[in-house]
Amino acid sequence: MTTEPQKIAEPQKVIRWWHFALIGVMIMMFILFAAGLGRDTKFIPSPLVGKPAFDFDLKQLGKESNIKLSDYKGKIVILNFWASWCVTCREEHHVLLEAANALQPKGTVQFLGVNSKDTDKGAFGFMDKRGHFPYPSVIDRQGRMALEYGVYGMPETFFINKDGVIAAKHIGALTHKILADKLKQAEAVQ
Amino acid sequence: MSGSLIEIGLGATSLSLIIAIASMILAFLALQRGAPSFLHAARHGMILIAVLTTIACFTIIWSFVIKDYSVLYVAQNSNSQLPLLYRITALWGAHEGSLMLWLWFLAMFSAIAVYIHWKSHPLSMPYVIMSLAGLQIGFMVFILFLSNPFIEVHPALPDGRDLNPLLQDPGLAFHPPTLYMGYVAFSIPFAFAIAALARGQSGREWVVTTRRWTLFAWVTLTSGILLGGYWAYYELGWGGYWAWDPVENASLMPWLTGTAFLHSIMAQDQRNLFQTWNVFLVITTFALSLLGTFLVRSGVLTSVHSFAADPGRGAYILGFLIVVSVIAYGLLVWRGHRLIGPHKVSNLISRESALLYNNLLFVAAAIIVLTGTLYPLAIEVLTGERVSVAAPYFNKVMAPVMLGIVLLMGLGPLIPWRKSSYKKMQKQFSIPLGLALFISLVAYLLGATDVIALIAIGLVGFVFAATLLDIIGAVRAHMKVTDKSWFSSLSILAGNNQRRYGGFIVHLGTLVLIIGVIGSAFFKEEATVNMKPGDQIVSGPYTLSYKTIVPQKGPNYSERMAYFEWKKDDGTTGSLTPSKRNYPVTQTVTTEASIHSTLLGDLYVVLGNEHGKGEVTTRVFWNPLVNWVWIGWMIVLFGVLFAMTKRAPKIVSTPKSEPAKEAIA
Repeated sequence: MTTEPQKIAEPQKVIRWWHFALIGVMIMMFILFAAGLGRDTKFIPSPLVGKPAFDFDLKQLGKESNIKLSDYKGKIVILNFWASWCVTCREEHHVLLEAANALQPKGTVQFLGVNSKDTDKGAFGFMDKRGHFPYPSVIDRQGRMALEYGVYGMPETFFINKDGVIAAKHIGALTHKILADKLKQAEAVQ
Repeated sequence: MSGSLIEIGLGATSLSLIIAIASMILAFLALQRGAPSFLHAARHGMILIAVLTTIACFTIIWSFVIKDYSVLYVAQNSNSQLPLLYRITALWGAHEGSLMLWLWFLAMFSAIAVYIHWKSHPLSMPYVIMSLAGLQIGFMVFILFLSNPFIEVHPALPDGRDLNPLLQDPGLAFHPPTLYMGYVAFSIPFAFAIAALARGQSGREWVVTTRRWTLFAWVTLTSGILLGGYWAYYELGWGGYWAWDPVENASLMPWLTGTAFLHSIMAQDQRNLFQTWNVFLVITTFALSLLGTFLVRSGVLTSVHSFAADPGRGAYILGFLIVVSVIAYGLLVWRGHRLIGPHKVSNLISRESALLYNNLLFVAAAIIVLTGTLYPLAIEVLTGERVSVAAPYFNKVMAPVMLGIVLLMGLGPLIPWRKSSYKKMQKQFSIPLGLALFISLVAYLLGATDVIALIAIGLVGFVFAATLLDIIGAVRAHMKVTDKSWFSSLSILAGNNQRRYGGFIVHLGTLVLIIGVIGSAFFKEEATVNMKPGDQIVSGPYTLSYKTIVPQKGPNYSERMAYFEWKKDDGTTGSLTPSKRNYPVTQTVTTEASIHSTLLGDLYVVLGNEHGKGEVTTRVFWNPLVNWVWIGWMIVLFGVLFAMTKRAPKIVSTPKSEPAKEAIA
């Protein structure tokens, strides 16, 4: 657009392609941001949800016998990773005790602990002080199980449905509400 | 008694809001009725706001200093054991205070700009004041109604919650304010650009006037980003200084467009080119600064920078961003055609076309970063799936663009305006080109195999050689004419061309920085191992052996400190003591990296988890040449300061556009 040497006349207003491009890009970005507001960015879905749970065969804490996950096929298994050194585990301890006492007698739900990267002495010290779980725990001394399950930080709880598929998981301390919600998910997925 | 002090801060800020609104209206009326007295009043308003916000910031800082825990913000972000320096820097330790600092910078810069450009730009001034007051109002409303740092709690809390331990580091103490200062300083060129648009004035006036502001904004933004990298490297134990995290990207985007702007205003200054483009760039740079604030504060993106996110605040910033963008870009679309001048780029081989390509590459880089940063958000909003775009994407896509920019850095400044020829270029660049090929070959023979790395090494050599040869040529010519020594010739040349030689210094500093980036990106060694006392590991030219780990006590933390000994190939030895700190008040654990630093590279050790009996997970890095990044930064800083010593020529704004001083090409 070579113009004449200008006499400062009002230049012609021309609508150009970049006007549309600019307006279009702006509108799209703003819609995107508005839609993006208010999401919970802390929530990270686990790639394991929907996958069969890793079947283990591990020694039971305080006993000589082993426990296999597949022993409980047909029941919903609530698999809780814990350790005596884990501060947050103390917070959810009473929730686990109360829920297990309420739910397990029905016979459809089985709780199971995984005592991870801990010692027998530490684990029993923890339970003696705060109450013994009304369900067994398996020993995961080296944290191999935690690796298999992609455990990021303790405590973490997996909700495994009747077919042995991980239906839900929770990172951090459980509350009764969270536990009930996740359990529903495990019951729903058939 | 101190309770009333913070109330003074609240009062001062509230009053500022009223004055800002009044100033905006006054500036508008001054324009409408042509009444200079109204504009004078608006100017006084801007200066008064600077004073009032200074008082407001001071009341917060003073509350920190005297440990007044009846102020909620103070109680949330400090503790009686916190050292004085960090009690002062705690002002920007969280959201509310950060915004207060933003506002304070904006108010100070506005007052300074209005004061120093008052006489020379009477016709732009109403628009400038309106723009700046508008921005101030946006922030003041946000501070007063959505993130108020002046809230009191009665009765006062016995003690505070302590400052985030990661922020208790001199590096962080200065990273956020420097970054904000860079963001905010772009508001002045932005306001003048808006004035140019509104007046439909196409001359070089506004770019010349704001050149120093632009340089200042650019260098503070650069320093803010690098301080962040420095902090991540030394304090966070990342082992690196840049991770392509969304929050980092948020600060890089305005830097990229700001750098493009810094270069393209030369074309407007010298040849009256790119008028509309420059306005677009400065609006975009400022909008991206606001976007950065939005991304950081709203929590729409998943980031390692876990700022407390609040959707309500996010919505406000988004609204503010929309208002600013709609007005600024709207003006550009509506009135941009008035800016278009008679000139255009007429030759492929010319300074202006080099600048054009420079701009295209920088903007392309900004688009790449923007796309990569927003892509996960778009995917999640559209499909609900979570994806993340990580370093490999950015490294792969950015590398060629950056190499192009480095090449232009060598070519651009040496090609004359208007026209050059292939012959001239051959003469200028054949020696550097030969040198570049030679250096790349040497690097290849020494074992560098990565193609990008080899090209980058060659390019750095090319630009160094081309730039130095040009300077030497100029000095020689000067010596011949004047019979002076080379040193006084160089000083005279540089002293008369601060902008050109300042630019050269910045470019050389950037090269030094790039050498550091090449070294630490392509040749680093990294290992994560479980070590028991007595274990050894080899990293770069060092052999590191682990001795023991012991508990220690600090003023407001307890720590586990490991003791390592290193031995270098050449027989020198030394020790490293990385540690993990536990801050009981905030229940936070931080890792303190321990670094043996030399010009050749850093041996860098960070601790992970302990496994009993002294066994500990250890991350060991050999980061070659990483110090060159910081040295390059210092040279850049010096170069910019040198360029800034050149005063802007006095240009008085005239009702109509500048008469074309240059003949039409």
